[in-house]
Amino acid sequence: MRNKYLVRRFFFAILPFLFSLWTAEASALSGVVSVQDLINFLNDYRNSSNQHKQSLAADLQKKLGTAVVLITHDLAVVAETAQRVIVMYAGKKVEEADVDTLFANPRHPYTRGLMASIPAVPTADASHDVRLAEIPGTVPSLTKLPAGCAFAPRCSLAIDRCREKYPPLEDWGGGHLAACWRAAETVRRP
Amino acid sequence: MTETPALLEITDLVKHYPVRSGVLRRAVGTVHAVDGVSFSLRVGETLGLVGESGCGKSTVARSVLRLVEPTSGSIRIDGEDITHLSKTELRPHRRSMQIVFQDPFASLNPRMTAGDIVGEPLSVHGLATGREKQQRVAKLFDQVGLRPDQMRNYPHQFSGGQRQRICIARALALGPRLIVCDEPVAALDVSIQAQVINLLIDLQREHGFSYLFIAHDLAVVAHISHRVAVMYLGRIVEIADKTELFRNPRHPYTQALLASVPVADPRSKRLKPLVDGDVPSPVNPPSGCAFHTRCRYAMESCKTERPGLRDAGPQHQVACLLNDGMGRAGEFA
Repeated sequence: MRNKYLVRRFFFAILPFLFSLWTAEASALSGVVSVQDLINFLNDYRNSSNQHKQSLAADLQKKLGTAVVLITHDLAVVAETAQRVIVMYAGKKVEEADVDTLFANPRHPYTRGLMASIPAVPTADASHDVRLAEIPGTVPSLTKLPAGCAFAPRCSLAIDRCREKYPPLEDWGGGHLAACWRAAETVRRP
Repeated sequence: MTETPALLEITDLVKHYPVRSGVLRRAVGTVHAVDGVSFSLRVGETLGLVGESGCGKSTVARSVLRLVEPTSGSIRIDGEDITHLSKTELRPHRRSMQIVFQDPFASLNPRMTAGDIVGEPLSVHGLATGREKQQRVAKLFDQVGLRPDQMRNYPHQFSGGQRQRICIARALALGPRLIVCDEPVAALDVSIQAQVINLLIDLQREHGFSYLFIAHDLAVVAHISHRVAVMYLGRIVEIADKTELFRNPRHPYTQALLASVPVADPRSKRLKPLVDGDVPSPVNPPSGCAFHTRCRYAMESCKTERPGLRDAGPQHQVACLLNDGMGRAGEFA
């Protein structure tokens, strides 16, 4: 289901290109890409296996210079394809940063929870006994959002203020935005 | 683990689907979905089954439960051959094997309440009715981390992770010894995925059943499995203890799969993919070793000779000619 969604996303992403190729400007662009190239590309994309999809996304960007909005819950794919990342929770942007900063120093507890819950490919010392970190509970219904920060009921760092007032999206340096009352304390990934 | 008896034994499992075409729907070809798969699963063990889309993982899963009829080969549960049992003869065995599907949105009847869904296997097998059934369902809800008061709700009132919990509760209802999990977390968010994986591991510790765990996410498989089998175009190309497989992959395909796992770290720079192209069509699988068309170590003999699974160390088998005295694939990596 996710793949279908991605294909659709990419189709819309390159739609302006297809359109421009059909117009007079096509002649200027055709040196770079042809309609056939694009069609081949899309076919390639549709037929390829999961693990190839993300490298194709990177190709799309490199070959065609297309801006890509990649919507996914797979952080590993984000780490490998995106330059900038926005993390959303319950309809709001909770964190934004360039990809290196985000993965090195996630500030929002939700981002940190997501990163902690990814199973790692085992190395020699990893064993079956390691439990994955969970974020307890589920995303709240958008019709019944809690007061204050929407993540507070699932957050281990939540304090009274979190349940009363939604935190502002603050800049923590270098365009690293995070909306969390306790972002100042969450400096390094545990 | 070696001393524990085998719960499930699959020998030379083959499933071919005819390709029909024309007005008379004559068979014009064959899809070799599963082409000679053998493995065993011990009591209390988790065997991970990985491979690209279309390599036959799900067909194996469904054949094990006889949800699809295998073309040939045998399936033994607790030493008893169930390959040719009739529907009625199979019925008592159905209780010991259950399945959890990938899509918790499609595998629950939207017009039944969650409680009825979980209780249905109990009624079908005539195990409990009325109050007793309600109590058992409530207990199952509790086991999978749902509140018993949610029994009256309908599937659409649950989130994806909760729905998968309902599916797990339904699978648990009959006290199975084997649960086949066909991509149970592929449709879930990472944080919810972690909850479900932890639940599956906890339940196994408590009840001691075996899992046949199918997924395309290697990290997930690695986390939950004791042993891992890698499939390519309907065949198992490598099967080993989890740590051994990840530390010392022998088959070029396994090596390529491991190298292509995305890592959630932007600093880790990706190596060039080890395999290019797509899986060949299972209608016309390549001769010899099916992987030779994409393998960078392919030799002349790989095109004609089909390698069987050979021992490549303790608890480690691999089907590759390079490992048959021609050198070790691992040395090239």
